[in-house]
Amino acid sequence: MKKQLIADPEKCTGCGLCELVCAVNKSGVCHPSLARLSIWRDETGGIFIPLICRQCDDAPCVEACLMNIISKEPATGVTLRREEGCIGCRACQVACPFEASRYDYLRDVVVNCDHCGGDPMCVKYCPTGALQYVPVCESLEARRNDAAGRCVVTG
Amino acid sequence: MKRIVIIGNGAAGNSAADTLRRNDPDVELIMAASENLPEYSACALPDCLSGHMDRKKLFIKSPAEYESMNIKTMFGIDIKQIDPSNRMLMHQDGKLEYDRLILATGSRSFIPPVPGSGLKGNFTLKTISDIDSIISHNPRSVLVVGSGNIGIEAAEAMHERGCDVTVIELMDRILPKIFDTEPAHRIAGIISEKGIHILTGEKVIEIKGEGKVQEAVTDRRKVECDAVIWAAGVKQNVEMAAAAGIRIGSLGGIEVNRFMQTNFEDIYACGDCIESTDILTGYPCLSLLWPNAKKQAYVAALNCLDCETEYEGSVSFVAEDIFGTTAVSMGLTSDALQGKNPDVIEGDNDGQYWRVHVLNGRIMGMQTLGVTAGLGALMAMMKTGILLDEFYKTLDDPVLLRKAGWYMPARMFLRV
Repeated sequence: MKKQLIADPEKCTGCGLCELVCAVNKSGVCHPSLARLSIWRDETGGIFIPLICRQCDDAPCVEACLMNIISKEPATGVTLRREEGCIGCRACQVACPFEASRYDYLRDVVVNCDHCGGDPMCVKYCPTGALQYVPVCESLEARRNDAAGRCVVTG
Repeated sequence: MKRIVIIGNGAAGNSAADTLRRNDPDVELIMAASENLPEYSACALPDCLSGHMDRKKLFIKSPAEYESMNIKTMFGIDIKQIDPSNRMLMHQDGKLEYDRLILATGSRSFIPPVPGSGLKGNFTLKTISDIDSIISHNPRSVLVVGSGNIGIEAAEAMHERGCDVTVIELMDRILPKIFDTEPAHRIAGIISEKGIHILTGEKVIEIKGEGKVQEAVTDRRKVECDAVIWAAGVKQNVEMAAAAGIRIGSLGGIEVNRFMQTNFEDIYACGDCIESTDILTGYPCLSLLWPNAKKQAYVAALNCLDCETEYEGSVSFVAEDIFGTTAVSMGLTSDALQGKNPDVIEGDNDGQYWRVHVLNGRIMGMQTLGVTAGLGALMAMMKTGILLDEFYKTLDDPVLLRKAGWYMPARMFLRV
């Protein structure tokens, strides 16, 4: 079953544990800028928005890659990279609307979330349950709410 | 069984082949190209020229990969003629029949007819053989003619190789097609600080030398150099298509509809060789950019398999590395919006610079220096035509902002 990593900004407190866990797990260094997800904070407004790779079907990063190293895994729908082919040009980073193509300055490559191979660490450590790993049908429900929110704006 | 022939082995040709194979494991696929090499990334050529990257790393596919994907390759072959009425291609060794044809013939560098441009030491930068010949020429001082992205990347690469580099540009600023005056000046500042000479508003009149390039004469001075790299533009490879009766548009590219189909039902075209519609202006444009070529090829391939797919249109999107500073341009410049008087949101903070063009409440273009975060969101807003009023309303309402969280990274550019 295809699963999706989703975030509920209502529950996010901006603690940043997910960023640290991800960075340590993936790069071995405890620095949030090496995480494959990012929390966008508006401290005064109390708004914290985790932005994570949405594993888009028609992904802008796949299109932007100059070396054609980004591809979709057909079974899981996860966006994978052949990192040894990456030249660090950062075209995919600039193209991603969700800030989910992350530059790994230790290795001079750009990386993205791969769901930790089916067991995402950020979800395990999230203290409020803002991050969840759910089947795609449930994530669609969340996305519908998202779309409804936008309709209110456009009227 | 259907046989699909693809002419061209660049980004578009290979993207079409990949899409066809992924969606139909059985269709017979033949790729024909004049260059006898497997797919490589033309965009990474300057990185290889500078010596930062291994030549082997340029290659995206290996010959074995074509085989494993069951693609028959005919590389190093010259297709002489297309016969659309008999669905046939003539090449030097015979004929090749097709049921569907995808033209991805690309473009080639254009050398203006300047006296002396045939001398030894004149180069272009478009293919692997170009960089091989530049490296084997081993120049000491180089003149780069033209300061588009290829020109600037070539200048940077030759500087990294230790050459004395001069860039000459006909217009009043460098990168004139993708940057406005202010960001172009900032980029020129970074480049000249490194020791590259920039001459704007100047024109090369003659290349002089005995047997090889020794000096270039402009309308204002003489520049000593032992190599000239021409980056003064490209020309679409459409001659063969035109001879076969395929319609060519007013800009010189193959005319296609939104299904990437030419005026012949069985012939599709994609990549540098076509004219597509600009998503922002609605007018035809020559895109010449990697992501657009890939998207066009994807659309052409699906339509070839009778899965109806439409192309949304091209949008300019260039990300350059200027000696460690990321320079990005997307959408339209002020020049391209001429006469429309766009509102400009400009900002500057700690080495970062951004400039957003807004017309009728919609984002039409964006140029930044030293910025990497938030650009994807702006690109998405530009492509989907989100109104700025709506954007500001969302930012001010916490409930809505949490629903459209991806607006967050873009807000630093758009707060006036």
